[in-house]
Amino acid sequence: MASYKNLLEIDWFRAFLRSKWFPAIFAYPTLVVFGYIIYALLFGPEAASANLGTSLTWVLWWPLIPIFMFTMGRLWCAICPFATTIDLIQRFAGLGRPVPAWLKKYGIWIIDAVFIFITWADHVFGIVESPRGSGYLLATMLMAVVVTGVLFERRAWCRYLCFLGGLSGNYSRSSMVQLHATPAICATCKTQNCFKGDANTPGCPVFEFPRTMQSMANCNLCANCIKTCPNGSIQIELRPPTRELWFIRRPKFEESFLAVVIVGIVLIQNITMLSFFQPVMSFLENALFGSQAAAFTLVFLTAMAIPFGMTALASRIGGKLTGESFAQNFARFGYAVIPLDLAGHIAHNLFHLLAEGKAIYFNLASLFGSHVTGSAAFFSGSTIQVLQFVVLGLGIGGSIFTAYQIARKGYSGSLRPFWPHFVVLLIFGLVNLYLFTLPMSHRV
Amino acid sequence: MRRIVWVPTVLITLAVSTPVLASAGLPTLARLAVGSYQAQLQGDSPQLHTGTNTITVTVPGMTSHSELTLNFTGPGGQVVAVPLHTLTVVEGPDAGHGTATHDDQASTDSHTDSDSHTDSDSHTDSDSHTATDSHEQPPAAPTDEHSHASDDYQFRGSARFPETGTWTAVITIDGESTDFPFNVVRGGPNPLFLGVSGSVIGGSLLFGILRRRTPSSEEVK
Repeated sequence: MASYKNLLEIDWFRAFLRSKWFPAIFAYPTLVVFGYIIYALLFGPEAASANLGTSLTWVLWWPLIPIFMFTMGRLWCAICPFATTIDLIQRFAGLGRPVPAWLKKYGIWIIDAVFIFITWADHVFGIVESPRGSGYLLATMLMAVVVTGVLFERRAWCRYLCFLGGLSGNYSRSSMVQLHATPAICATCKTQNCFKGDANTPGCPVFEFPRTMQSMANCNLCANCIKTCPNGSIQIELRPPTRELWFIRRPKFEESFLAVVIVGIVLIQNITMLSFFQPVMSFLENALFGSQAAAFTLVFLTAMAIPFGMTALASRIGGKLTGESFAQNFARFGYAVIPLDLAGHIAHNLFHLLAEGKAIYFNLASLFGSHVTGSAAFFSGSTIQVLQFVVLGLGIGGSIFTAYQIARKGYSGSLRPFWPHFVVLLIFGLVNLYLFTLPMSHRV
Repeated sequence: MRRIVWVPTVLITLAVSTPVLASAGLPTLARLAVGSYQAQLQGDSPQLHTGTNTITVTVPGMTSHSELTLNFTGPGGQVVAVPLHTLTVVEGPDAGHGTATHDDQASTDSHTDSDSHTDSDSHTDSDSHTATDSHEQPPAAPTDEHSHASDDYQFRGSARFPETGTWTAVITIDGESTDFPFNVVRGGPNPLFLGVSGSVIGGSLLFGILRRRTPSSEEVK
């Protein structure tokens, strides 16, 4: 990892991260709010616009998540209520069994499958628009969190099963922040407390060993390693966004696959709003026993397959140019889509945050007996659209630049494998730009 | 290749029989003619349910001197009065991109059947509801403050229904009343889901606690 200014040289910042208050001062209030959200979603109003749980989850939290990932890596995961729940129950009910080998091997595939399934289920069952649906989703995840927290050591759920963790891992690779150890100091270390923990602080909850950690994909910035390292080896630095994606030493097909699938998810979010969509749906419904859900499933799978197919084609061509296999080229260049994914996610959710954000205030006021309504928007539609295009433009530029850097660093300066991916990324970018000119649906 | 085929097969099989639950905005419960006014009742759920319901009443063209009350009479004759408060409308920019205000985007699709009751002149006989006067009558909603940028007056209040069954709403504006029957359903999540999730969570915790206390257990940490 390249070195930048170490933020831990700032005294108050280092002292805060080393104190027992971090991240607890954020984590426990978040857990309390999460508890209320689950209650509101399951027992509160069934109309999304009247449910504070829906507003807090889908209008505030979900839009802020990708922004957090970009600016602060996976810091959210350090204060996530699921993670706090795991830590709490492991104090009195955790068995601390080792994570099974199959879970380590196939965890990312499970994450990919669950992510696709939840996106599909959202469209078919209306999870986001239905407070009960959102409540069932969160409660089901809570069940899995408790089971894995009881059975397995550390935060096995977060590392190997959380679908949001998989998404966060990809996004965090393009974040502005990195944590790493200082090799010269670690060379003389005999304690390895950063991994094992010490008497006061547990080891890394996500099984990372900072001495060898090359990526921010899994680091939660929980600061356990900062607290436990007796030699002050850990550094936190600000880095150029997307930089990590240029130098991935062991690219994984499944991580690239998730990145490409997210392009399909953005596509499906918007394709339902196109004018030709309804006639196509009607035709498919008639062909599939009149089931709207089955027809949508076909459209959904097609939308997933298109970006995958395009990237696969580019990888096939790129592989022929470099002598790599298709899978190797796909794994290497699939990461280049991440900045565009992140930008698309932020841009899409900017609308929900800025055009529906006051719904949080309305519903919060209602909780305290005040009756307020009106436009839920903070900014006009045109202002939000300009912001969306700016974010998307940065994402397209970031993705193309990342593909360029991957080609330049990975193929001794040869740009031949870059061009097929450049074309595909440009198409993805243009399609995204077009889709953001279309009307969007409100969540609440 | 076999794995790839499994994914669409499973999804389509699951999808064939699944209902679409999506909805957004405040659901319209009924549109009622009350004297010379048309009142729209919106709930915070598609149907009134046991427990607390937040009800929004919109009356276009209502004068500032008018008085409005809303009561519900239950299957056992019990009366639930809804204390209505003027809804403060926060002005904001045009959200564009498919714009709607917080309450205006009511999901009327699932409740358009209530439109058929709009001209419910047969229910305007207020005499049949005099009994409700002796019960807890809510204060009439104040209308001195114009609550909406347009000519609509909007009011909101909470009603708590203790039991399921047919409840009759009685809405009165300036002494003229209309009643309308509502089916109050059981509120809250699916009991089966709650039972299963509670059992899994409780059972896991219990298993962990007991296992840790078993001396022979090798997993104890």
